[in-house]
Amino acid sequence: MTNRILIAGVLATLGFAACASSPSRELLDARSAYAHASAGPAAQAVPADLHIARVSLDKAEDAFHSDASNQRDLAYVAERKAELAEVLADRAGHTETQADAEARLGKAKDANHLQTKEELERTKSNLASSEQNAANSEKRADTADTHAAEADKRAAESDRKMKAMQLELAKWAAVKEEPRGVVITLSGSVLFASDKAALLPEAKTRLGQVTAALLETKERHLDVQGYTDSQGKDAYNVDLSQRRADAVRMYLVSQGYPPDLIVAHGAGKSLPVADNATAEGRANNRRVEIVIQPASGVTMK
Amino acid sequence: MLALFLGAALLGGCATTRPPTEKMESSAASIRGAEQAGAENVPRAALYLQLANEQSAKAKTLIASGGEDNMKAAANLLMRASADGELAIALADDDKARLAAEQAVADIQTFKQQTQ
Repeated sequence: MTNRILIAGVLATLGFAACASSPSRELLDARSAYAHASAGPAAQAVPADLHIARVSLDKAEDAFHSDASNQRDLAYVAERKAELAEVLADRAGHTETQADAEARLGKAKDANHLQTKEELERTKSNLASSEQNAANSEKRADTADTHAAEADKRAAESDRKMKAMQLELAKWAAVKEEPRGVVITLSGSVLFASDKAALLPEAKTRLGQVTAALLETKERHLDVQGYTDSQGKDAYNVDLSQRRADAVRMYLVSQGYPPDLIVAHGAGKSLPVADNATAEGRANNRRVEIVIQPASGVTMK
Repeated sequence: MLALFLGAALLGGCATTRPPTEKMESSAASIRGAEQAGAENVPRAALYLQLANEQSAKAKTLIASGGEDNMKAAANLLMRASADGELAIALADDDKARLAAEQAVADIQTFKQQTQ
């Protein structure tokens, strides 16, 4: 009897122990997995999946308390659900990272595109202005060419007039081309009365023709030089030749030749062109030379 | 397969010995999904796929043996297999998402280096 009671007691104790047995390894794992998942980003990122894990764990707990035959299976599933929630949260994090990186890349590309576009615009603009500069340079070069051509043309014209003048002058005055310039030699007897420095009427007519020709090229410097023969005092001769040169100069100026382009000086008996021993030679030495200086400044413009 | 189980259930005529068709379908679907997601190539996912396959195979043996206890045990194994398969799918997808994110981050770094 006591033995039976004892056995019943032992059985009852065993039965109680079975009901209140410690949780399975699966349930412990499931609890741990859920605790881990709910403490992580899953609560924020995938609340619905975490809730499913919670429900699954509750079912496993219920099965454990009711000592259901499949309590270990339900705990196994609950652990997987908790792990699933964590993995899904992790995945959501990756997706977010990807989206963020792609958005930043898009922005960077847009910014870069804009920058490239601006650079392109600047380059285009620079190119356009350099083309404009090139065009302007060309234009300036053209203008310079035109000026040069005009200058050449003027020089050619000047030379042509000079030639025409020489032909005209050759009829009554000696015209020579010398290194110092074109020299027009006017006979003193044609221009002046003896010992006088006033131009004869006939001389004015002739000088008029010279002046008309000279006025065609009134860019040249003229050097009017008076000469005498060797007779008489030197000082007197220099003075006379000076006054005669001045008279010619004054006449040219009166006809319109620029005064600042003409100088006059008396050289007296110096630089004779003929023998002073003969009357003919002395007549040739009495003269006025108009030296038309080379047109150095014209083509240089 | 499904027709066979249905046939067996009808022949058996007993509700308790009916094979757990719903659980069989859902576990098969999660295993298929895991395979399609490339779980075999992702170590952690491959592990759960393997577990799902093993438990599914064990369940099939039990179902083939017949009997109420075997059907119940099979149903529980299939429930485990489904959970393993789903986790395998999620792990495979997670790996892909991780690689895509790393690629996106690398892309922007490359772009910034190129344009600086």
